[in-house]
Formats: sequence, structure tokens, C-alpha cells
Amino acid sequence: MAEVVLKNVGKKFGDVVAVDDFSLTIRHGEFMVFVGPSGCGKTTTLRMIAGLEDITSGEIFIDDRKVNHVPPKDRDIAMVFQNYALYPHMSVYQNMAFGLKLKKVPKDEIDRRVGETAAMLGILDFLKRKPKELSGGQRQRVALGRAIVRTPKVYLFDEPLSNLDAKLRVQMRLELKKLHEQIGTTSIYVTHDQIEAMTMGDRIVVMKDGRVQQVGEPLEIYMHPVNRFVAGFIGSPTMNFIEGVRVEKEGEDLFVITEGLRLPVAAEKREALAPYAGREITLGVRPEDLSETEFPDAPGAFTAFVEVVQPVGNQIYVDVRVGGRDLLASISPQSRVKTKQDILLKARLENLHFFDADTEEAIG
Amino acid sequence: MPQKQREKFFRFYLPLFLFLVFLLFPFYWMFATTFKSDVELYNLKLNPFLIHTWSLANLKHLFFETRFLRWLYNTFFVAITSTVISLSASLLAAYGIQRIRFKGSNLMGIGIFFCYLVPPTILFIPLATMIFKLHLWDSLWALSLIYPTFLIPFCTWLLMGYFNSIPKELEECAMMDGASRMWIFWRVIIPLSLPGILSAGIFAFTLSWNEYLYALTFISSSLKKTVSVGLVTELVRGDVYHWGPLMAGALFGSVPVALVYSFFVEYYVAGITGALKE
Repeated sequence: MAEVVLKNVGKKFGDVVAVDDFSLTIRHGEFMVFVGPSGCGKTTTLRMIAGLEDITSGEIFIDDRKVNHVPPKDRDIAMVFQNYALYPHMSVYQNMAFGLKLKKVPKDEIDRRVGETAAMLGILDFLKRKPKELSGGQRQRVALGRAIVRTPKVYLFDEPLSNLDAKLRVQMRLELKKLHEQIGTTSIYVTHDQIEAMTMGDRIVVMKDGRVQQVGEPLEIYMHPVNRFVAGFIGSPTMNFIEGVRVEKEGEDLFVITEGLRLPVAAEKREALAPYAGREITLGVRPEDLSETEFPDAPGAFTAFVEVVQPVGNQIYVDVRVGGRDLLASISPQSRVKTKQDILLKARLENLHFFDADTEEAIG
Repeated sequence: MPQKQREKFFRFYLPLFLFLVFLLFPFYWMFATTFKSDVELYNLKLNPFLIHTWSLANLKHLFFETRFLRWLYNTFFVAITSTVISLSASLLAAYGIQRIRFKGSNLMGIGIFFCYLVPPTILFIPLATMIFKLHLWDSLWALSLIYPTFLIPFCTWLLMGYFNSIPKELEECAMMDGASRMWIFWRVIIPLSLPGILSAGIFAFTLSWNEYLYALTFISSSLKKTVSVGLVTELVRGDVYHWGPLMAGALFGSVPVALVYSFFVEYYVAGITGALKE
């Protein structure tokens, strides 16, 4: 196990800044997920930790040892790649034994470790096969096995599940998490899939355009996104954003008002939002924070016009129109909602998110 | 015949058959001429496509009255040495340019390709001076060293394309496992590039085997000629063409190349398409 520390790490490709001022401490045994849209610098950061990419500025430490100029082979790390990167001309056994052989580990020790790891991953029967004779899921297991068998200080995962089909991905996600709990080695996992990030990470780093947007535990990021980008990126289906919402003060109370919508501001957000009175902000509301109600006078209730109804089983996604804007609501499957009708919705006021219209930073 | 089969016949088998006839006819012509007597060959009243009376006279002429076997050996020697030299250089060059992205690597790749574009008709005069100064005039080593001048650029480009199809992650993974560059090159890149290396090798071998201009310029003694030069210089005397032995020489000269191709045809196709199928 090891601690990985990045201090003001930056990477430039020519004039293009890929990673900018990245600072982070990854604790012993932590499962850290880097998530962000493609081109956000998450893979580049991972590759810099691996030593496959030079660092333009800053410092990287693995267990208090500065590794800026340490070649990949001396960093004691293992990486699992998106395309598995199995050697096609070697058998599963040879693939897994490759690193150990290079380290001159005795033959019977190699046999034992490969056997144990293969048993743990359920690939004991395939040891003699070539990678091309395996399915995608099995290949991914071999790739994992090849990393595990070396017992490195840190595991690096570069979108390891993206080449698998949806069902297998969910299964492997679970297995990876179990595996991490069993082995407990510090792991850094890169993905563009926010669900993967939420479900697997002890902590998540959300990145955009080479910059860290927010670091935190999954639910913390979900509940308290620091800006509009994070709010939109984390959560599925994505948060509804309503721009040009006016903040108005009426006595002690604050309201956010736009055409067809007038929502009181929850008490805990009042103080932060008070300076915005009379100004326009962006309102964010997650689809799951909108529910159907029978009481038109309830706080946060409003009428909307149903355009599309999408039942998904445990939820019904309803596309509604409010004052010329489209919103998505995720409501109970018991609802009898129909298209081209009005529906009475209610927003969970304590979960509303407010963003500065200019900086897009979260308010409160 | 059902509609589908008929369609396949007209769209596939018929064109294939015509193509085969077109392709194999020269070989048949060589074969037929080889086994005809001179009398039959020059008798215009006979059907030229058939052999009426079989004769081994042309073979006897070729094998016992010329130095054909020696030429065959020379050609093999030159083709194999120049192929080995070219492949060794090209493998390193292609890997370096493709994977060790040093400054100017792209430029170097393009530069090497330009070398291939310079025609031998321009190069043979300066090369002749060099060969002379190296005291390699009229030596087979002259050809073994000159052929790589056009083989290396060609093989390098072919191998660069092939290396490009090998995922970079394989090397990166090996690097993290503790392998050195050379180790990766030998244990990962070379085994995975075998189809590419074989097709580059076949190309190099064929090009050297068929080469004419340099062999004609740099070799003068009969004992050191290659097949392509030997046949033309010793079986065409003035304006007299010894068609029988010439065709026999052409036939036996093309057999080794045809064999090489047919043995490695699968690798060859994989090498050209550059596909590393998982």
C-alpha cells in the first residue's frame, strides 16, 4: 500500500495545456476515481503517475519518494488498460507471469502466485489459452490478474471496463470493488462514466479542461456540487438547469422566480442567496427532486405540461414544459401521468441548487 | 442453376477464371517453349499453344552449356544477404521512427521514403564510383550492399505501417512490468510483427531476385552474374535469341520466387493489411 501525492502537477503538449496545477493526496488503500468528459486530462494525469508521460511542472510522490524522473518500471505500479493490452502471442499464464519473470522471481513462486491470482479471478481454467480465445470479460480478468499478481504499491486503471457490454460492466464493477476490499491496495481509476465513479470511488476527482473541479466522496459531490459543471456531470439523469431565474425578497422570505415557477428558498440557503436579491441566477434541480403532488398550495408546487412519458420500471421520466422551458422529472411508477396533460409537480426545496449566472459557481 | 449460384458464378468464378488465365498464361508459354524442339518452335504451321514432340534439348543447353546453376546460386546469395541486411536495418529504423518519437522522427520517415523515389538510373553512376573505391567491382558483395539502398526505404515504410498497428499499450505495459526497450523489441514487437517482417522479407527477396540494372552494371564476369543478367547477356547473342533456353531459364528462375510466395501467402496478406487481430 502506498500514498500518492501530486503537487501542482502540470502537463503541456506544445502550447496545449492538458493538465493544469493538479494537487491531490491519495491515501493509503484508497480507491480514487478520476472522472470527467473526454479530453479533460484524467488519463494524462494517470499516465504521469505511471511515468508514461513526462511531467511539465510540479511533483509526484509515491510513498514519500519523488518519482518525477523515475522510469515506470521502478515505480512499483501496475496498470490495467482499456484495451487490456494482453500480449497476443503469449498464453494467459505467460501474460500473468511476464512481470514476475522479469523480476527474476523463482519459477515455483511464479507458479504459486499466478495460480492463486487466477483462482481468485476465476480464470484458472484458461491459463493455457491465448487471449484471442477468450471473451471480453475473461480478457479483462486476465489483465487484472496480470496487475494483481505483481503485488505492486499502486494500481492504475485506465477506463478498464469501457470495452465491455453494459451488463458485464455492472458485474465487473462489483467484482473490482470486492477485489479492492479484499486486497486493499491504493488504486487510481480513470473513467468518463459518472455512475462507475459514484459506485466505485472512495473519493472522486471531477475534472474538466485539465483542471480539478471538485474532490470529495461520491455523495458529497452529488449533494453539494461546487459548480454548474460538476452538478451537470454527476447524477443521472442530469440536473435540470433553469437560467435567468430572479431572486426576490419578500419580507423575511426569499423566492426564486421565473415564468410559471415561484419557489421559496429553503432556510439553510437563505443567507447565502440573500446578496443576490434582485439579480438573476441559474437554478438547478435534479429530476429525482421533482415529484408529483396533489396539493397545489404546497411549498414548491407548480403546474407543468407533460410532453413525453418514459417509464423505465422503477421510475417514470417525464419531460415537462414550464413557462417555455423543458424540464425532466423522475416520478413514482405508480403515477397515472399521461402526455399532453397538465401535471402538478413539487420540488424538494432543500435540494435546490443555485449557481452564479456569471461564474457558474454554486451559491451556498 | 439457382439464381444465387448463377450470380456467384458470373460475379466471382468467371472473373477469377479469366484472371487466372491471364496470369498463368506467361508461365504456360515459358513451359511450352522450354519443352519444344527448335524445329517445332519455328514451324509456323503448327499450333503454337501445344507441344507436339517433347524435347529436353533446351534444358540441356541451359544447364550444361551455360553457367545457369552458378547464376542461380549467385542470385540466391545476393537476394538472401541483401534481404537480411535490409530487414535488420529496417526493423530498427522503423521501430525507432514509429515508437521512439524523437525530434525529427517524422522528417526522417519522410526522408527515407524519398530515398526510395530516386530511380536507379540516376544512382548507378555515383554508386559505381563508390563500389570501385571499395574494391567491390565485379563482386557479389557489391550487389548485396547496393540492393539495400532501395530495399531499406521500402521495408522501413512497410514495417512502420505494421508497427503502427501494434497497440502502444502493449509496450507501455511491458515497460511497467520492468522490461527494457530492447527486451520489448525482441520479445513483444518482433513476435507480433512476424507477418509484417515476412512480407517485407518476401518483397525484398523478390526485388533483389529480379533486379537487373545494378547487376548488369556492377558485374562483368560470367561466373558472377545473376540469373536475370546472365540469361539476357549470354542467351541473346547479337540479334539471335535462343528462345528455348531463354524460356527454360525464365521458368526455372521464377520458380523459387513463386515457391516463396506460395509458402507465405497468408502471412504476406496479413503483413500488407497490417492487421494485428486479437
